[in-house]
Amino acid sequence: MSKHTDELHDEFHGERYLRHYELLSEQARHRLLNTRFIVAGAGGLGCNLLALLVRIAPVQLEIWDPAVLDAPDLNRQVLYTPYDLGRPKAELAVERLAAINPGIRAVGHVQSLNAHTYNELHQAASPPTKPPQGQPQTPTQPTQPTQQPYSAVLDCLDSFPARAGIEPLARELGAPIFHGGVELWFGQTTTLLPEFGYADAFGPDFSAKPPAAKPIMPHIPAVIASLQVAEILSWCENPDSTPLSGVLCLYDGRQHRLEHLRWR
Amino acid sequence: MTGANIALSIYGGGDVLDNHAVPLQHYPMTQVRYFGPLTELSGTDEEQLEIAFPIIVGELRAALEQKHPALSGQSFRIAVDAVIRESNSTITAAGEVACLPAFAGG
Repeated sequence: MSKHTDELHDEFHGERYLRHYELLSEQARHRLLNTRFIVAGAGGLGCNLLALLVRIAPVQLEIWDPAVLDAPDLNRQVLYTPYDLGRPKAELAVERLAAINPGIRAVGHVQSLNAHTYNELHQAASPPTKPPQGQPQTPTQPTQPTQQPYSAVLDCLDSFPARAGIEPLARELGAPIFHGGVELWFGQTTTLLPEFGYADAFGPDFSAKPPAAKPIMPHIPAVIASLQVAEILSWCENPDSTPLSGVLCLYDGRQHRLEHLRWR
Repeated sequence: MTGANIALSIYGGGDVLDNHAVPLQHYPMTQVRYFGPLTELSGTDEEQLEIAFPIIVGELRAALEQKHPALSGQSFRIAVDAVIRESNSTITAAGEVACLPAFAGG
């Protein structure tokens, strides 16, 4: 473990984690602290997922979203308020998450995530720095993520063509993709371990799937994001197998039904 | 449709939608379920259908589209007994068939 992670590990013992710390194995805690969570999309799924994840541990986050906040986003994007309209969601999310847990290391990128943008940014970036000793960071200025031994891609995107763009990155990093998708009263989630891709779960023509219908009930992304978080924790416990690796979980928000269908 | 062996009939009716080359026999009833917007397009959450097995998934899909024309052109996959199947795979038996759209939004 790096010195930085040692410090985080000490911090992870803090009182704010008291209610769930003992529920996580040492392996899960280690992985939570040593994973760079690369978040694609800070919308309905992203807001709900991140608001939970930063409460679980002082995680390392990279949040990618090219969009600014529009009024229709406010029905489900729980990190934002009407005062934020017109501001980039990636920046807003970092601010709000750092206020929820100042211990996180987070950075926002007002860009679409794909292998090209990720590599361009990381090759250009200078080595990450820590704030000088004795100079506390403000809640709205979390430190940058450091290099981590593990990566995970959190798919909170809003189209399948965009998902096709992140798959090569996940493959390059050897990272799992925690997928979520929502529309109307419905949602789905699955986990793609590194040897699998979207075509395995959604068919060879997945990138041609039509765009989402605009209507969405606000509780749907909350349910799906919660399931994504559950999967992330399962992966931290056992990176080789999670309950939804190879399984598509469908949620019907009208009937309150969860269905599990194997795709491998 | 290429299927020479498709008998997809409405439960209890013998209302065969596509019966070319189908011998006069009965097949076990199969539960067919529709998810998401497909429920509105098909007009039902689930129905009992008589399906002649073996059948290729793509042919089953075509028969379902024939029964519910609003499904035509929709993007969905088919699961058989809770396992998602490729369109060229052959189903030899099924207790339940599920029609699954994918939800794109975030």
